[in-house]
Amino acid sequence: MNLEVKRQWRLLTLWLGLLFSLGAQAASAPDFVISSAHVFERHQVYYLDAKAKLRLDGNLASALQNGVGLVFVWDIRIMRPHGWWFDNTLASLSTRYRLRYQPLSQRYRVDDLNSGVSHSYWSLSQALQRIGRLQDFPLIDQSLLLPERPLFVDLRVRISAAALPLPLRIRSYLDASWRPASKWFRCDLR
Amino acid sequence: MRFALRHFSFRVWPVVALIALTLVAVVLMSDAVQNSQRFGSHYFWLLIFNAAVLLLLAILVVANVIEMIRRGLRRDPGARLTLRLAGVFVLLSFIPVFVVFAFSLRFLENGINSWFNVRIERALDDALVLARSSLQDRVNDLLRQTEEGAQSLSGIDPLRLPQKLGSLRRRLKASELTLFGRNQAILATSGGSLSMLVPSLPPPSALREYARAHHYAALEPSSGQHLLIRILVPVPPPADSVKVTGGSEMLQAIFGIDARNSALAANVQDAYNRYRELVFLRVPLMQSFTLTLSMVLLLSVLSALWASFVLARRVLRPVRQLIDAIRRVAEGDLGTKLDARRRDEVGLLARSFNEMTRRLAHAREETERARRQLERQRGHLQTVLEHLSPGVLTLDRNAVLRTANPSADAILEQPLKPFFGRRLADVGEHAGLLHQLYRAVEPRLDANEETWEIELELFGGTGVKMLICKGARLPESSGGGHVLLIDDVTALILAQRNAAWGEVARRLAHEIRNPLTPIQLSAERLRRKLLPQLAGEDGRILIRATDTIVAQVEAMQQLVTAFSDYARAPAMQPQEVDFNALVESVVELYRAQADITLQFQPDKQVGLMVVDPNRMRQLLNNLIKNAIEACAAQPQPRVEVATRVVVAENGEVGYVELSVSDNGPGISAEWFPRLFQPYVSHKLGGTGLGLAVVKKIVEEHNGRVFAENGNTEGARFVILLPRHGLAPERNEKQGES
Ligand SMILES: Nc1ncnc2c1ncn2[C@@H]1O[C@H](COP(=O)(O)OP(=O)(O)O)[C@@H](O)[C@H]1O
Ligand SMILES: [Mg+2]
Repeated sequence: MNLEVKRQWRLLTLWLGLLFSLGAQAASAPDFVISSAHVFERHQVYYLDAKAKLRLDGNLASALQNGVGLVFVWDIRIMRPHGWWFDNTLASLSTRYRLRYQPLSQRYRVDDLNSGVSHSYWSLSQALQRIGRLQDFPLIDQSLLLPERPLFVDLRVRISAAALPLPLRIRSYLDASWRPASKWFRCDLR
Repeated sequence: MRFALRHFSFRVWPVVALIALTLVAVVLMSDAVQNSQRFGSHYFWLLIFNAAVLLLLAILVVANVIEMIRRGLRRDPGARLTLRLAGVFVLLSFIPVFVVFAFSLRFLENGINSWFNVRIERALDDALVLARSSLQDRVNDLLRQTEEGAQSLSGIDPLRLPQKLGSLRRRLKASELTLFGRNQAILATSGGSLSMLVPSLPPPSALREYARAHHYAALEPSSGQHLLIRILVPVPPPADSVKVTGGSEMLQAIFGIDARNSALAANVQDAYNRYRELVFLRVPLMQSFTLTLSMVLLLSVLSALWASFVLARRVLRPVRQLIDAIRRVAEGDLGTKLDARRRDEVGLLARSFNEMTRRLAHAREETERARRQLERQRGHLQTVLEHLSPGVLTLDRNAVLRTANPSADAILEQPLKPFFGRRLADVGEHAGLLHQLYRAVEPRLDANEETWEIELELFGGTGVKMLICKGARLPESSGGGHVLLIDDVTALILAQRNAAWGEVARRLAHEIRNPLTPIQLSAERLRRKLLPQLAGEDGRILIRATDTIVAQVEAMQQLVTAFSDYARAPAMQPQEVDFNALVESVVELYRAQADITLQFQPDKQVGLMVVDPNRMRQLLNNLIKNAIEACAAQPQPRVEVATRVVVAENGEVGYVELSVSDNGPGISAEWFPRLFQPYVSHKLGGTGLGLAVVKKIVEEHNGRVFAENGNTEGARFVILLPRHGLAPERNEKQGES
């Protein structure tokens, strides 16, 4: 019976923990910040260069150290401003990187899930630097866009909660610190 | 809203379907926890769905509970029973569910903990270290070999470099050898496979390391699972060379690790990673399992709660219906029927119940019919009684008046309703005739005979009433008591008396007057014929004798005339007169007799009365004459006449009292019973008719007469007359007779 009671208590504390973690989304300094982004045109194609400062907090870092793969997603939307109504999304793209720790070689490996190319780094910050840098990212063919209107690009970088292992995913639904995301960053397309 | 909720909460099938659906969702959820590939992406929605269903179920249960408690408070039939049964169901379902839950939690924890084992963890760590150190050994070995190879390249003729590099590569069994110049320019390269046209360049991190430590040797992941070893070593300058400036040439050697070893290493790393991940995810995994389990628990508990309510209601529905039906029957609705189609005991009960109510209804109908019939009979009897001229009174065994018909009211001269339910022994004088009646019949009631009959004379507001009262004992079975039948025979008796007087007169006339004339004539003829022949004494005797005969015959004739006058009294001629003045006028006639004191004391209140003045005068004559005759022998004869108004206790029925008193010898006790009868006289030459006439006149005025002896001397004759005189119809009747 005592055992039973103990288990009930444990269940209760688990639930309470979930609830508190839900409530305790303290407003701390954002971990993901896009510092710069800019679009340029070359050979009738728009390209995007962007830089983000990515920092993993303790939870995610230890998850990574413990073999959990993290998927980083860049969400990019080409927008047409619409005055007083919601802006129109003309196109949306995303590019994804998977970051894993390889204990054998003691390296961090970054897989570009779009291209399948992978790189490995000695340090986490190098790996994050790699992920936080978009270079010559082809956005859209100029011919697809109507010429006259002003356009801009919204982008952000985040950790994909859906790609977390399921138990963590439940947490991430309740606790936003498990799925950090940058604010949307806007830059002119032209 | 509430109605809709109730309606919804009592619907069964949608809820059952919902619960089934939720069960499926929970199964999927648990599946998702174990195998995130299949349903993992829907996990969140499953969670939301389940939470919503649980909320809905909770609301249903709460609504049910509230409804039940409300019914319980309202004392709806069967509500408490349902609540109790539901409680039992809930208890029955809760205990196993919680036991299973507790054990599941425990097994879950044990199961998850059993995945982790210090020895396995250590073994995996060791495997990793082993793999790493064996690879490191190989890296070190290759570094040494490459450094030796680099020495052999020192100071070599650039033209022979490719060949030399090729032979060195083959010797070292490297997959690729590249020589970089001072500014990282590729001086020469030798690749094992033709496919690799461009030599792989060292990554910046490797170059930084090389710059720091003057060599670089590391295991690097290549494409897929493959691993490669990259080694960067400086090529020492030739011994003779002295110009050491900047850096030197750098040799990069890349060694592939064969597929088998690569795969083994990858396996070790994979397993290690997986294990670490599991360890790391232990708590979250426990939480998600617990979450799923709690969902299942909640679902089971809420479903059980809901089902127990539904079940309790279902099970108790026939009982509830029965209770409801019984209550309605108790309230008198015998038309209540239960559904008797079920084939079980409940159906049997329902059929018995229906049979019972049918019989009850039948019986009630029967009684109702009987009651109506009784009512009708009673009504009939009532009408008969109401129109019956005799008064009918019923008394119970305690002589409490129960009923009386209108005739009884008329005869007893007052409405009897107020006396219903009262003991007649308790009603006082003011109840008038009713009280007198009761006093008269009381001994007969006490005697408790089967039937009896008495004649009585009551004196009420309209004078004397002669009643015949018949009594009969009521059967004991109906509570006993008596029924009294009273008949007002005043008029009848008067008529009878009058008829008797007429008969007397007729006979007198016939039997006495007729012979008188011949007697007189014969006596005169005797005198006329015999007187001339007789002389002297004989003649005188004859004259005296015939005179006596004639005188006596005349007296007799007068007597007979008086009788026939009495018998053929003229009709009553009542009129309103000043009663005192009338009495005074008669008394005045007798004042002339000097030797007697005659006093009259009138009561001013008497006033006008409706009487026959001639008869009244005759009555007074008779009484005063008797009084004077009675006291004539006294030394100081004195006669007193008085009138007085007597008011009855209840103030309603008043009467006037006329009294004539004298100071004569009074009346002997033995005379009293026959005082007022005709021909009763105790005087020489008295006719004995005086008081009889008085009585007759008093009766004609519905009055009463009685005689009494004075306290010290003399007699007193009292006449009581109804104050308001004669009722008109009585006058008429009197006039006819
Ligand atoms: N005032 C009286 N005092 C005493 N006796 C009386 C008195 N009045 C009547 N009586 C008695 O009643 C009897 C009947 O009287 P009544 O009917 O008048 O007949 P009568 O006078 O012819 O005898 C009388 O004979 C007398 O004895
Ligand atoms: Mg007389």
